[in-house]
Amino acid sequence: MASSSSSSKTGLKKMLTLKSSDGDEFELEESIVIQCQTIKHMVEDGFSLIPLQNVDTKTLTKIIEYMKKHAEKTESNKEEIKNFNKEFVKGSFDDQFELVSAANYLHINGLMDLLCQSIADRINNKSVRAVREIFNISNDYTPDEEEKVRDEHKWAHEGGEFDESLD
Amino acid sequence: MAKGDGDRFTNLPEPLLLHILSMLRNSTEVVRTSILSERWRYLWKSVPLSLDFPFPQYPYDVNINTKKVLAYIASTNRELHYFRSCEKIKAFRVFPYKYRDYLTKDVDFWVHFATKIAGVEEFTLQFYWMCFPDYAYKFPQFAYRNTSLRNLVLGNCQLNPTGSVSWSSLVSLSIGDVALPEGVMEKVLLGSPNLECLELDKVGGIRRLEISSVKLRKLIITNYETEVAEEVVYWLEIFAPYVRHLELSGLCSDEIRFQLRNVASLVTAVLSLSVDFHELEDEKDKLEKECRYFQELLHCVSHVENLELGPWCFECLSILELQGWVFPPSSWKFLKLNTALVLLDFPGIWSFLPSSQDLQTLVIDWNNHKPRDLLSRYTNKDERSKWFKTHKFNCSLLHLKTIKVINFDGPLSGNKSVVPLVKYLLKNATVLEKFVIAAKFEGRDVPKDYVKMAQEFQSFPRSSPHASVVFSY
Repeated sequence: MASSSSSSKTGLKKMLTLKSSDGDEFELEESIVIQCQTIKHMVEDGFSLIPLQNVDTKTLTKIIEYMKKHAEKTESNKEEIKNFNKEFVKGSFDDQFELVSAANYLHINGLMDLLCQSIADRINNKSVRAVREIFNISNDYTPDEEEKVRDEHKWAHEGGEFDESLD
Repeated sequence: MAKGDGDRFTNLPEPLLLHILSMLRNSTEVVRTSILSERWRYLWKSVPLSLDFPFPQYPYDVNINTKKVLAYIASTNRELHYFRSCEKIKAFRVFPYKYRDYLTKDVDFWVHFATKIAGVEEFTLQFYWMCFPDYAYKFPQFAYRNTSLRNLVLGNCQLNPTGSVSWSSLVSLSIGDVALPEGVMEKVLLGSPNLECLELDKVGGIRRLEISSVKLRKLIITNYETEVAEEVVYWLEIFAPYVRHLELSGLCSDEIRFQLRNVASLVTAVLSLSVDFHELEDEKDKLEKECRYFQELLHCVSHVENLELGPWCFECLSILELQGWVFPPSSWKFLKLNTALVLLDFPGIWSFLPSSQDLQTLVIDWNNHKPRDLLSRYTNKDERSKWFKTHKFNCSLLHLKTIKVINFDGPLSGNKSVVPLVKYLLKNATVLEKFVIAAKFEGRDVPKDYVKMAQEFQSFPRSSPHASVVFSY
């Protein structure tokens, strides 16, 4: 709320338009969008309408939500941002993979790290079977091959109980 | 699904998969992903790995014997062998328990592995225990010349380079529990031209620390009474004209006392040290000397923007205020005080408020359990009550925007020190934006007192219309 009232007051901010792969356009303040390195470079080259062929409307909406929130970041609202981040990574993995690819393409490092860490946290300490199931990874090893690979790194699979649950 | 026709996760671009793998909790987890599917088989080898080998037992456990130490060495060596086929090992951290002769060759091998084979950026070699001051692992001569290391942490290792030192990429260096022979610190500093952060934790033998590199911005010195005994008390003179962040902590009694000679560029100072002039017999002389010493320290850091004061410093502050010392004007914007505001502490907090015209943020960390023995010994009740009666609480807090009280515990209603202070600050801080009191509350039942006080706080009059008051528990 605070940010929308302060920005409408000034009114002189430079605006940019982002266009998703579905053709939808989003108008945003430059100061928000330059968190994204790819766009920052385009702005420096004089573009004000930025077509994003690899990002669909659904993903772009989420990314804009992230950039808007993080543009408000100050010394005193760290807790608020932390909670926002926690909520932000709660979507399905398909959505997260879509987002992480887009964040990678757009070079938004903070978002990349946030999503990668959230995915990594779901792998930690899980059994191989659980990881495959959680992320829907198709196992294309033959049983013999799989046994061979397991044997190669036997030491890494030993010792320690791995979590079989899917949550 | 047909072979090779991967899923959504597996089809992510390789740099992204590597980034995700690099964020796994440990390197063994990274290796385990090789079994997920064919695409993952060799991926782990390209992940920059951190190899951590914490000692598997609480290191101060009395039941640790040679057998356990040898088992630690064997398992560490085994894993290193397994990981040798990785393309990049970023970090290697080992914590052998205590130095013994039979460890020398293995530890030499680890240093060799880190500096010559893997070329790691981060290396930690930390012995938990020291046997005798003169009996410690000698950091090998070949490791004094290295180009890959960026962060180096050495604990309980003897440093004594025979030639010059060349750590050309080193950015951060931490040395702990050691007495340095004369001239070693100079050699290390001279050979580390890119050093930005230096941490000395219980390091003896330095009389004069002269930091002339413009790049070295952060200096952290911790001192405690250690077995690295010194015959006489000596002063550690610090010349660090370019350092921007300085932390002094620990107890300085019979070994080292700091003397800040030049810290002109300092922006942040953390003074959480405690000083005891134990050699003086007369209690009064001792206190006098301690307070003067604190005054001097404070004078040296009066130009900083951010200041943190620990319990001992805060006690001195209170005593000085009771003595009638007028606090010189300061330019502090951020001030953190480590004090649970008991009534005795009040002179301390009032002493600087009038002179801190630029103050924007005030943080009070309640986590202070040091008895106020100096204060109660030095001052008597009459003196203190006289101060409370005669003191004029009068200061303008023109720039104060944020006040935080953290780790608060204890009852609140009827608290004679906190509630009046909260009221005073709310009334006088005209541009206040946020007043937060965060209670360190563990357990299920929230004290009724807190619920009541949280509501009561909202009713206190405040001069800044935008101030939000939050009491969280």
